[in-house]
Amino acid sequence: MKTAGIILILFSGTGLGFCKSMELDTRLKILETLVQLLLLLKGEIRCTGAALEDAFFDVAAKMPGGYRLFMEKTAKRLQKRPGIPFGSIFRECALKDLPLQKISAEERECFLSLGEKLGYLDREMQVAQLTLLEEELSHRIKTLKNALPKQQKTYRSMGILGGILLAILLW
Amino acid sequence: MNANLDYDKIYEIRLRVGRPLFYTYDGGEGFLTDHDGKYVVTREDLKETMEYVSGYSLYSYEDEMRQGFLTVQGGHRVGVTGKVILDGNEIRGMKYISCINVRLAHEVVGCADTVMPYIRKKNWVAHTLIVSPPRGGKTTLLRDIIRQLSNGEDKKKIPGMTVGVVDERSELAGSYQGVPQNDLGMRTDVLDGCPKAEGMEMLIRSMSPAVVAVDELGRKEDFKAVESVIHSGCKVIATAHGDSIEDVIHQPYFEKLVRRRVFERYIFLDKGDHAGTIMGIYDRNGRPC
Repeated sequence: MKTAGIILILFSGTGLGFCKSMELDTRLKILETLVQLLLLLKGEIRCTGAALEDAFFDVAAKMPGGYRLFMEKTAKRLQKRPGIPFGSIFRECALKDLPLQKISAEERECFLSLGEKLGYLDREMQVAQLTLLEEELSHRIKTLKNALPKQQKTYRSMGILGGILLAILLW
Repeated sequence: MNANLDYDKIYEIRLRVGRPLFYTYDGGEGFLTDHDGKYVVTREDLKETMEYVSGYSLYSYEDEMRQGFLTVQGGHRVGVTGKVILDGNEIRGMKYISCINVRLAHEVVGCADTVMPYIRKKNWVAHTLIVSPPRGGKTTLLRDIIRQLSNGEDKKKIPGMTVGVVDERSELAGSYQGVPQNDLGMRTDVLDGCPKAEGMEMLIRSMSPAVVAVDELGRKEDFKAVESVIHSGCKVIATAHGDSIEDVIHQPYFEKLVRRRVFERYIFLDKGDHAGTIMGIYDRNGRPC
């Protein structure tokens, strides 16, 4: 029984380490998909001058899973003209349908604040705002990619060692 | 805030940052009030209003913003003032919007009933000029004339005819995304946002109208285009600012058309008790019909 317990602890520790390491992968994928979303949205606005609801619908068709749902739901809410600011609609839909809890608080707020800047004034401003956010997220992606191998190794090692330490302590 | 207003009687709503919100109602003026007195408009109110009227996409109305207004669903016009962005001498856009004037579209179906017998017989339509001072109802009257010409009158066995409309300021059709929001009749083709002179040439070249309708003739090119329309065999129905025929003659370029007796009917309107009051209908020689 004791041995089984120790083995379980070892596996748990290792698993935890690997989980944390996979979280970093997930975070990277989410950021990359958000950048893709921004690029597509920028393209729609710059090239076609489409209204936000149309741009969101068009981009939705090119996005996977939850991102498509987010774009479609936001577009449908815009169509209804609910009389609340676009920033609120964008934030509500994004928090509901996008996996933003898996990125850092800063990155999340960065993305959500886009809603306050879109829709108003001229096309150039819209494109500029999207470019700014795209560049910021791209910078974070680059930093994360550089640090990723080391951090993942650290998490896995910590997991394994943590498991071993706990096993020894409990032995 | 519940204003308890009849919305059919509201003509304009003005929002100015830092000042009370007021509206034109049934010929008079009113202020929106809350429990603190007159409601003062904030910058946030203006931004939210613009977001709402533009479908959260003010940037997609860039061309309209250069002209200082946008037309929204329902044919309503939203005039905008603020800090103009210039590119050389050309207006590129606007920022720091500080005032919005929402002009609500009210078409008055049937307001042309009294004038139609003077400008249309079974196979004849008169070249017509509608004259009134500003906000005298000439656009509203022109709109109904277009509708009635286009649809015809089954009871009197008057057939409908193809009418081409050059709606430079989107006031006649109130087009939203190219679709007329006002009823201009089933045989009417609308060129929305097009300069009058170019629009008239385009219509006679490609749409074979029996009648061409334009609002507020003014530029030299407009009058040249009117002559082209007449020479092509189409009838012209147009409007002009003025109180009298003398007023019209004194405007640049009108004198030639009036002296040549191009227009077969002149309809004079006055604000009177209400906009659209018909002061008189005259023939090409200035005699009452």
